[in-house]
Amino acid sequence: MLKTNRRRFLVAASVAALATPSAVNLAFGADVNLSLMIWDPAQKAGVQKAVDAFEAANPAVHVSLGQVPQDQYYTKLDASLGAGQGPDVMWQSSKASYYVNGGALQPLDEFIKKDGVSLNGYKKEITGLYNFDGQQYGIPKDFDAWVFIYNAEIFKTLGVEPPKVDWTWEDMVRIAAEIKAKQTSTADVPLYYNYAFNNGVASLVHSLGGAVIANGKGTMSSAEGVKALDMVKELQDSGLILKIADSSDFNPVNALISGKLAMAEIPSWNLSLLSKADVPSGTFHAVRLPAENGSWASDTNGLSYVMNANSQHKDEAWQLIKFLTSDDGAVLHAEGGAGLPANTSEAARAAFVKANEKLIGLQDALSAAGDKSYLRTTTQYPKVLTGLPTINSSVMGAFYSGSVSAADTAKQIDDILNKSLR
Amino acid sequence: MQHQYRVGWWTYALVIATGLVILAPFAWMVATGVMTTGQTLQVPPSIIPAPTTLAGTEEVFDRIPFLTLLLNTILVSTGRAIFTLVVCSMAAYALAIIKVPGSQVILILILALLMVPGDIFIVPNFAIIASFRMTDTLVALFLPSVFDVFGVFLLYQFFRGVPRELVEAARMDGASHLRILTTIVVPVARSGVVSLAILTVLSEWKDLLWPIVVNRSLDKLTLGPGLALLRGTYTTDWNVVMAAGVMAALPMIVIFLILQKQFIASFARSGLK
Repeated sequence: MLKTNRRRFLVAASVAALATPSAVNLAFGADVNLSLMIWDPAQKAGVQKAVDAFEAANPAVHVSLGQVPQDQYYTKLDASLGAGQGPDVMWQSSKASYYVNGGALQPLDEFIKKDGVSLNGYKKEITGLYNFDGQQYGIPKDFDAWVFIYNAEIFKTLGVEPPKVDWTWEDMVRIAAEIKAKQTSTADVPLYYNYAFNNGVASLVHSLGGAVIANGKGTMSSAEGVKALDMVKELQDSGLILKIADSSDFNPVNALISGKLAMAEIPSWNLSLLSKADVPSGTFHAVRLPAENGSWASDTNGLSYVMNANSQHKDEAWQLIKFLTSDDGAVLHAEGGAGLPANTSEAARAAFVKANEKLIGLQDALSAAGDKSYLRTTTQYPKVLTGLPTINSSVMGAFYSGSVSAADTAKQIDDILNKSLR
Repeated sequence: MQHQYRVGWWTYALVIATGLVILAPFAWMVATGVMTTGQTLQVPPSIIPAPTTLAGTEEVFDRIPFLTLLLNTILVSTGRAIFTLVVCSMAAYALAIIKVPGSQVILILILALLMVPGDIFIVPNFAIIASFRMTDTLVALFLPSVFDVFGVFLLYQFFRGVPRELVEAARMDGASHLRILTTIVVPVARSGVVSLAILTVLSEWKDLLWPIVVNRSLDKLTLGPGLALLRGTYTTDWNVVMAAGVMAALPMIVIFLILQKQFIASFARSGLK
């Protein structure tokens, strides 16, 4: 009898073990190897720090962190996920919907419910980006915010009063003009404002109280849309920013570091490059975006950690995602200095600010940006991605060259947006 | 009687100007490789490094296992060249010498495949390699490339030029196809074979996308993706990338300098460049 029972037990255990590979590992304590794939080398140190802490807390789980250049990231994902392989855990962006539709990503609701994880601890807009048909596929890791950075050394040398925390668009134009008047080298640039339709122009439309898309249709032809186009072009025409046609390879971060650029609109993902630059502490100061009619707006997007639907170690992969996006994980990641945490805990934000403490005033500038953030047009309406290259190259190019009026440009943009949204 | 052309001063001037245009980017690469990161950011750009530093080179070794990647590149390039030559010469022999049934149809298919961008095959190639459980191995880096339609077409053109009489005489003497291929066809068409070997090594040396896609471990990559990993997403330390570029190009330059006579003769005969 005992013999029979033991045989039954062994058979049952074997079946159970074959059915759930994770259960085998947990039951018998075998080591599990997880792979984690990211694309940004600037964030690798922070992610590795969090991974190290995860491994220390879970000695039986080993995580191999791989960084793939962004240009090849999605090609690698397409090939490997299509073959039923790929990393256990990976970064995803606004392209996540394509992978969800293809069945490549694992819904996380079951894990979230089982462990009682609250999604209220993350920036709400970013959490919603990874919810498809009521199912949550990603846990937010970071979000974007735009701030202004100025090189205080240049202001001091030229004797120009730097931007104040409550500055306006008019102040920005006035200060840039003052700097331009005092700069002597033709290589020097007073201001960099993001002139791209999807970022700088759209943000200005929102600052003015308008929207790029409303009720499923392009609304750039509104008074706010046309005014925003005119305002950015005026910066170019008055020589306060480089001519757009000459700006394609202009890198504002490098220009700020080399002292050729006095002030620039910079996204949060580039802040660590400035804080790690070999310049004296106090060189760079951060302020919020300049206000127009008392308001400002910062477009945002955010990445998340997602799980491969074909992962052989889903329980462990979930544990990794949970840790990386937890308060502790977010703090460790933020200590690397790159990637503004989507985890809304004060500790995570404080860790990011501390890691970038060479940027004076960053805490207030980020708070102001976070308070006035809106989902980037292409993030909220991914269909617009198909029309964006045409808008950027032919429509905006012709507008900045002066051959098309702001009103006609706005109309053309609306036509392209409407076509993309169909 | 051979006519002697007088070479005018303007010929020298044109040759020097063309040489400078070709060499200037390489010179700039070398100069940037010995600059500090700060110097590389100057506007307008500085061309002469002052002071010179090997910090960029040291940084390369800190960030990537350069020697491992170099060794991998040599191994994979050599392996790919050998297997490509074996596969392509046998296929070309079947089409040009044996003229297997349907060879014209096969040739049209080869021509059609030549016109398709190679990146299209990334996903199916990965699926095949994955089904062999060979992802993240050195063999995976070159295995799909050894079935090279361009190589087959190139050798087919050369093998067609081999005199029929030689092949038929060998057949009458009882030589096998393998013996005819190795002792008659390949030696007669050696310039084509050498050209294909060189092109294959060069192609592997600078391959980027496939190694990144199929392998994930840093020590299983080649120099192409290794250099790509030195680039930042938003900013790049160009002195580091250029120092790595110089070191990656150096072995090929040395090989070319040693074998330049053979290279030039081979390409001149094959009509390729």
